[in-house]
Amino acid sequence: MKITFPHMGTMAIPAKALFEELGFDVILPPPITKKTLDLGVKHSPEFACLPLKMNVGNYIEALELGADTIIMGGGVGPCRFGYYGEVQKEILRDLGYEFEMIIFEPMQGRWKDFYKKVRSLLGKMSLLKLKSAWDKGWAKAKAVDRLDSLINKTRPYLIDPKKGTQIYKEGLSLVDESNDIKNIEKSVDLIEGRLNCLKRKKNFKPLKVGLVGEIYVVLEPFTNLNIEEKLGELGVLVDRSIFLTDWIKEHMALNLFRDLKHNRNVREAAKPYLNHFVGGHGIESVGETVLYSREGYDGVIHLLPFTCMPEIIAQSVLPTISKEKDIPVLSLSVDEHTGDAGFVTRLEAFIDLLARKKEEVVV
Amino acid sequence: MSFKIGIPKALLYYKYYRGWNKFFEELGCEVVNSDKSTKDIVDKGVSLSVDEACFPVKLFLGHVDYLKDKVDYLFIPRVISVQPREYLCPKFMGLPDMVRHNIDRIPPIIDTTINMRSRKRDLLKSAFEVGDILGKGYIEVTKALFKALRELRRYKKEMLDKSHDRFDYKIGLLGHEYIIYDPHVSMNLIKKLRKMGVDVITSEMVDDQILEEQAKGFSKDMFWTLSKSMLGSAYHFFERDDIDGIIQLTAFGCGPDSLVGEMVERESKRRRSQPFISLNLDEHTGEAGLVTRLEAFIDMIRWEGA
Repeated sequence: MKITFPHMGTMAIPAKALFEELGFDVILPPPITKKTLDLGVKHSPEFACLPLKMNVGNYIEALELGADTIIMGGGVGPCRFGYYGEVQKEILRDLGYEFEMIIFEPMQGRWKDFYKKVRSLLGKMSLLKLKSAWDKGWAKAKAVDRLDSLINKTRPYLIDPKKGTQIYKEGLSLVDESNDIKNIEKSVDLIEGRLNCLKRKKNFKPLKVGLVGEIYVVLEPFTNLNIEEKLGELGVLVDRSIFLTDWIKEHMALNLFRDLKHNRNVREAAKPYLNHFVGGHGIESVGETVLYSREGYDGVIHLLPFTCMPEIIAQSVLPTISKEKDIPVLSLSVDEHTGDAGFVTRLEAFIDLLARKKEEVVV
Repeated sequence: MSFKIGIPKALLYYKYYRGWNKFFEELGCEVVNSDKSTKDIVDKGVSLSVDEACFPVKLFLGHVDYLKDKVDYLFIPRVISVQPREYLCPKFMGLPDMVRHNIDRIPPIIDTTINMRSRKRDLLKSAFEVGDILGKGYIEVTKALFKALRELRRYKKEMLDKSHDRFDYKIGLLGHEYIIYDPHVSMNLIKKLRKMGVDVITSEMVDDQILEEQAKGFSKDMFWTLSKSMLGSAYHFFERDDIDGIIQLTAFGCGPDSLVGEMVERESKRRRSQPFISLNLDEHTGEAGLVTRLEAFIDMIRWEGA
């Protein structure tokens, strides 16, 4: 059994560790390129959202490399993601690929169901081994998330931000190569030290921007055209509202998640504007925007895939928040036609606006 | 005091209007439905909503705008689910919010949550909430609700008996009610087809039991109620020998349709049982282009039949 799964930002690092630790051969899809996108777009329904198309591109490239089992997440709606697996299966079957697809439906709080599904995949594997594999994957997921937030906090201050990005990437491969949990944490500490040694601008106060939106396009730099890096290089401090570990918690439905304090705060903050869960991360986008405005951020950027249903609801509500809370919000929808130049122009214009607004306040 | 309740003629109106109208009339309210969709309403809706919203939602906002100065309350429920373990599309969950944040100076909205995801009888709770807003007692509301439900059942039965034998050809029409029954959006598609001598069957004319039976065959339960009946009727149409072709109407930007439509299209290609065409409609669709494609499709069916 040669396992593969779609990319989503840095997810491949912990996921690969998890499955390899369990004793499977993992064939990663090649890093996402224009070719991946083109393959996905060519074979997917025209009006499907971007993540579905990217997944299809990933699968095709991985199957060509010899993978025969695809691991995918599922869902019970109302977001389209829950039905991705079914449609993708049909697309690949019609293309003539032979493969097995294992779709993990969220277990809605029942460990037993999840265990059964895992059993079907693993056969007679000891729980102990499963736990140690999970621990390792989880440690790596936490590590890449920490790296992401480290680089975002550092980049705007650097005289040479490109150097910072380079160290960050080295950090990712270090985590990828680390074999035991202690090493994983050590390598992140090491990277933190190296980032701290870089030369910084003096007396510099960056603009602060919050990043909200649909998780796939927020996490996958290919689809958001490296927005965090671009903003960092413009001297903007980016705070991402959503991380890989959040998604894992949510998807594996560690049912404690819904009660987590931050999550409650988000719902509470969204309440005056959007008082009900709308699938995907719609309510989170709204709530986090309100929270950013309270925490004194200069602006919020809202990322969504073109035609994303939950995020369109958020997008309809955000202008009101922007007006009432006096915080500029830029909604950017991305799809296969999004061009780098147009994207950068809009980002720069937005940042200019934020800078001018801040000056006015100071004067 | 009798209130004027505005119900926009869009989206779920087409599925439930007989029930909704009955419910409010029984409670002694005056129901005001918006006018039929017109170009003005469409244009207004397009200008009010975010660019990316699907065409039906844009149209809905246009209808709300038409109604807003004419009524005391707008009835825009937050419909989460109308079937146990299923959902509707997310946009129905955020509909009152999309209206509130995109249209200025609107009357109070009755945005009661309707959620039958766990139990069907939760509908009664929602009805009571509406009653509270209007100052009506539990008994009155329960009575009104039962009358409304009976009205809906009657409507469903009327729809079932609607297919005819006097036409030469029969076509299965797939699509959301709010698209195929809105004469402006669908450009009178059903009337046009009948004029060409083609009878039309929609999923409302198929027994729910049959749809449910068909839907059991999918590898994963469909979690959108409306799409489930679309998928079920597609499979039902594939198997019926008396249906000569299938037309699928979708609206621009419809999320569930983008996936379900694809499933139907692929299955139809695999089965090769009937000719199949998918038409995507939006505010820019021109009537001439639509008619040309329809005529070509019907010609093809005639050749096949000959």
